[in-house]
Amino acid sequence: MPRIVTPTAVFASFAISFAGSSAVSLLAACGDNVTRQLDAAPAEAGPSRAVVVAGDFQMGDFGVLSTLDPVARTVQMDVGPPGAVGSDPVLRHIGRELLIVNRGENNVTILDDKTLAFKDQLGTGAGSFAQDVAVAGNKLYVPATGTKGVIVLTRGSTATAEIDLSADDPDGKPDCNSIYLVGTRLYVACGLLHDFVASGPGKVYVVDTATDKVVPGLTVTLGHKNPLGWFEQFPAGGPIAGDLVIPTVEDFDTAPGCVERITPGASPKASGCLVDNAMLGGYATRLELEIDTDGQIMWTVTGIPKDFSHGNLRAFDMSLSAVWAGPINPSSQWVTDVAHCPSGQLVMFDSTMNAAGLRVYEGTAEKTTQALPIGKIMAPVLQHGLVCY
Amino acid sequence: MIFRQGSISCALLAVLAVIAVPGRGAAADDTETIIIVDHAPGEAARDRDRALGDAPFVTVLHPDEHPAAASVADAVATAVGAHARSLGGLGAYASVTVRGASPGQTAVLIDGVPLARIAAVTTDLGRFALDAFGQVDLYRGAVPVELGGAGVGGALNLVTRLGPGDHGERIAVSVGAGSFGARHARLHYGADHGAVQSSTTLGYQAATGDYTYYDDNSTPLNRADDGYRTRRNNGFEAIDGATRWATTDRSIAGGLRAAYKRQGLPGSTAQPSRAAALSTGDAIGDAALDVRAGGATGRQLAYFLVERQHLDDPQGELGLGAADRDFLTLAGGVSSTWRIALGPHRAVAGGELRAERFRDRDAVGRQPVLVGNRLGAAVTAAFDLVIDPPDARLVVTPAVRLDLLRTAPTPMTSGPDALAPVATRRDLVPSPRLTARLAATGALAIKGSAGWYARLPTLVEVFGDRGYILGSPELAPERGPSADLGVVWAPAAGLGDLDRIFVEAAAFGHRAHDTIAMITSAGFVSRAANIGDTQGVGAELVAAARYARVLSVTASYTRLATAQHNGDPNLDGEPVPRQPDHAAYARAELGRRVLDHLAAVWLDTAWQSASSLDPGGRFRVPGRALVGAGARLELMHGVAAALAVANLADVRIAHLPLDPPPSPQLTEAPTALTDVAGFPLPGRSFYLSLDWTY
Repeated sequence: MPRIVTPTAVFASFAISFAGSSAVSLLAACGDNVTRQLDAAPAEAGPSRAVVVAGDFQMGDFGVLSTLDPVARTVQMDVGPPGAVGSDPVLRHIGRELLIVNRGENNVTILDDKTLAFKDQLGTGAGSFAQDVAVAGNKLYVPATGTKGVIVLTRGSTATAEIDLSADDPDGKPDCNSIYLVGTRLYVACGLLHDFVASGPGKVYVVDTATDKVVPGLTVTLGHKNPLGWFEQFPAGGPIAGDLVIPTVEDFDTAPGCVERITPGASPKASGCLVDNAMLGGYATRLELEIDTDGQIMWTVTGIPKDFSHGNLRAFDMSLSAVWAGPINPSSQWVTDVAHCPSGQLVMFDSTMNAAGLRVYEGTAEKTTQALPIGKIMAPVLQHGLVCY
Repeated sequence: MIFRQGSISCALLAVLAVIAVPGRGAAADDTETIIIVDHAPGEAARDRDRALGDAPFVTVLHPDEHPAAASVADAVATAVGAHARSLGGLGAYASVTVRGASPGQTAVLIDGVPLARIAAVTTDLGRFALDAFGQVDLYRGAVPVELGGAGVGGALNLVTRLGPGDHGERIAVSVGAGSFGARHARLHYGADHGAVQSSTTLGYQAATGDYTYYDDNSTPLNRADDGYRTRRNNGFEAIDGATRWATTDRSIAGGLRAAYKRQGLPGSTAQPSRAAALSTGDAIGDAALDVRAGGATGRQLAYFLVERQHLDDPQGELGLGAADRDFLTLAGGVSSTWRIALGPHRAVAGGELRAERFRDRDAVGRQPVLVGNRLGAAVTAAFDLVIDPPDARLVVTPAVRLDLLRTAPTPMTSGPDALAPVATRRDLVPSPRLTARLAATGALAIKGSAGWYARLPTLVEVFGDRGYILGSPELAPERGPSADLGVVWAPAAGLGDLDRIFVEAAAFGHRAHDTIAMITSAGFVSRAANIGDTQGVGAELVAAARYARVLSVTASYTRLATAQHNGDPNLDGEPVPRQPDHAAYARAELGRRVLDHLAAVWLDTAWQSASSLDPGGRFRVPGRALVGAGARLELMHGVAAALAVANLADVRIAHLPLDPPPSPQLTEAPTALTDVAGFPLPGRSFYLSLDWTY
């Protein structure tokens, strides 16, 4: 969400939700309906490519889209179509498309994932605060915190519709921040905030794409308030295959909050915490599931409590049900985003002031000697602005 | 140096005011058949003397050279070297940058009293009606030490006019109305009371600001959803009043000025606000007394400022959650400045004490109260050194100002850090300056200045706002050198059919170290940071003259080259965003008597070249030219009507080039004409005013 400051220096502040209890980490059974949203199309032979989008949070400024060859560790800077990336972009790779959700500008831009050619740009409407996107057929579903829930866009059309998920939120805006398509159903995470304060634990609403209506009785209540990041889904073949995970953080501290599991299916359910924030030494802001072989590692970008200028990359080993000891990155790096490449590399974004850029790791060993710049952007801070495929 | 582009020789450009007072023309120059006299001869002479004198480069802006509803920002925007940015519409927030420096680098004063900068360094110049003042002095380069610490962007002093008008008129009444609900009414009374002069002004101004603008629906690559929409919640209402009294020799002076404004906060086009509003009430009072001690004369000054703002955002449309907040700024100070002649030279020395207090309070108690204060003391010294007495053609003035400031917030009273001590911050800020003037001839002067200026970080930049903005206790002040050198030619006599000739050319440069910027960080929070240096070098040219006492023309041109010297190698060397490399302003005015009524028409244009949109300099906003026009007609003795048309060509769209094009059909992206992205400017607008002087 972009900052909007009134002309006369309005120094408003906000509060974060409080209280709540921390659930215990669980490793539960596998879910069903495993349809991986990322890389839904069959993987094609060829080298991996990471794509990063970043903006400067100044509404109206164009952001950059750059690509990285994680093996050669070379960056092609600013190769996206001008106007495709806004001031506060986030990125999903769905099928063979890159979908850029420009949170500052309220639009979704669609690019071809191979050629980066421009395909479409659809507005979500003034004041909508678009957050994430899912694709079902010709429709795009965009949770937007300035609306009653989810905006429905149609390719090639300027028409928009809205899915009302506000029944549980007195202010009529349920603050939905992430969405994921599993089968024909959309899972929508909503914070139910009022003035940035959660009124209760977050909700996950289930929407039927056939009717674009919420399915009564399938709503899942999260264990904690304030879902912060995005849904990711465990791939088939690994542990808890098909389960969705999403971070929650109640007061931007190590507790309460965790990485919560949602098991989709005919009767979706909350399956508890996969890992507590306390185990991570902070709070998760970005999850990335290892997509090669068996999906044993969940990478988490972890914010450090009361320190908004540092972040660590932690690894949660599914086989051990434990977090690797210590951050993967040195303390001199401020990790804000991460993506795991099919070729095995881990690409992370280092937002260190005046030295921001991409870094490439293989395992715990960094292969880059310095951050690789992504373009002429002032102080880029990413969160869900990096994918690798 | 004087004369805003349009104001040369004072008299020329403000035909309008003249015509309103037919007697003025005759009084000014009986031999003239054309009544183009905006100011009395004394006024003209004063400005010319100031241009050639030992003052630094100052642009003097006169209200009667601008439309009746103009704001201070509107007027400053026409000055050479200055660039204004408005959020759009009459009464909207507007800031000014001078010679490419950031807005916070320009200090703003009212009658010599510096406005408080503890909470914000940028002053909204859109909320000051130009007509509420007698003149506005824009110090583009050097700033006298008496006017405070200033920054590399100079200083702006809003000055109250005392006594009757240029032609003896005591009462001036003005009313008007125009497009988008704009209207105003103003009464001014200025009089001589023997040894005392006074000035009292009451004003009202308002607008609905509901103009249409081009809306691309925030999809620059999709034109199918573009259209024209109406700006909402963009209105304001404002009242102001001021009274000022002084002895004719100005040895005793004092005044009180108060204003209240309530305005809608429309938000950006992408995140509009329908209900957010901001009200601002302020009062400024000062009193000055000259005393003599031996051969020295000392001016004792005391002043106070009170500003209270209330932000009401019931629906949280501004993006920060629902807000109901009060901001209170209190400031007060005293100064003593002494002058003494030492042979042909003159020495100036003084001291100042100043205290400021700022409080940010959540009216419904959801957030802890932020309170902070700043105590400052300064010593100043200057010496007018006449190199070649008694001619005094070459005068050099070294000066220095030393500020010592203590800034401290009070501990929070609630939350996890309640009552935890917060470290006090102390700053010692020297600002040495040097000005020099060589009067080469009676009409030609060469002037220059160099100085070291600074602007301190605000309370919030240093300590945060206890929530959304994090503190940066180690933040360094912005500081750096500024220098200029130029020549002024202002012959007293005409050249053939040309008279009131004025030419000024200057080159300038400045570099601000440790530029402060708000950097958005993780978790939607921001913090202030010193991001590196910014510099600007350039040149200014102003030329004006009157032809055959009928046609007055003035033109100015500013060349500016800015650069960021940022710690981030990606941005190093890139231009400062939204600072055009070239800017020009020109105005022509034709005035004469028609059917025994004074009449004048004018045409002006403001042009600026392309500028970069972003700090990376990757995307350029194309250049633009906005044309205005107006006419003024004397209806009867002392009564005149004026019509002003702004943005005559109704320019509302800027076409952003897309390079490389995303598709063959998408080579450019039409977007709203703006000074600040997301805040569209109005198209063509009209304003009709009627004024009466007596």
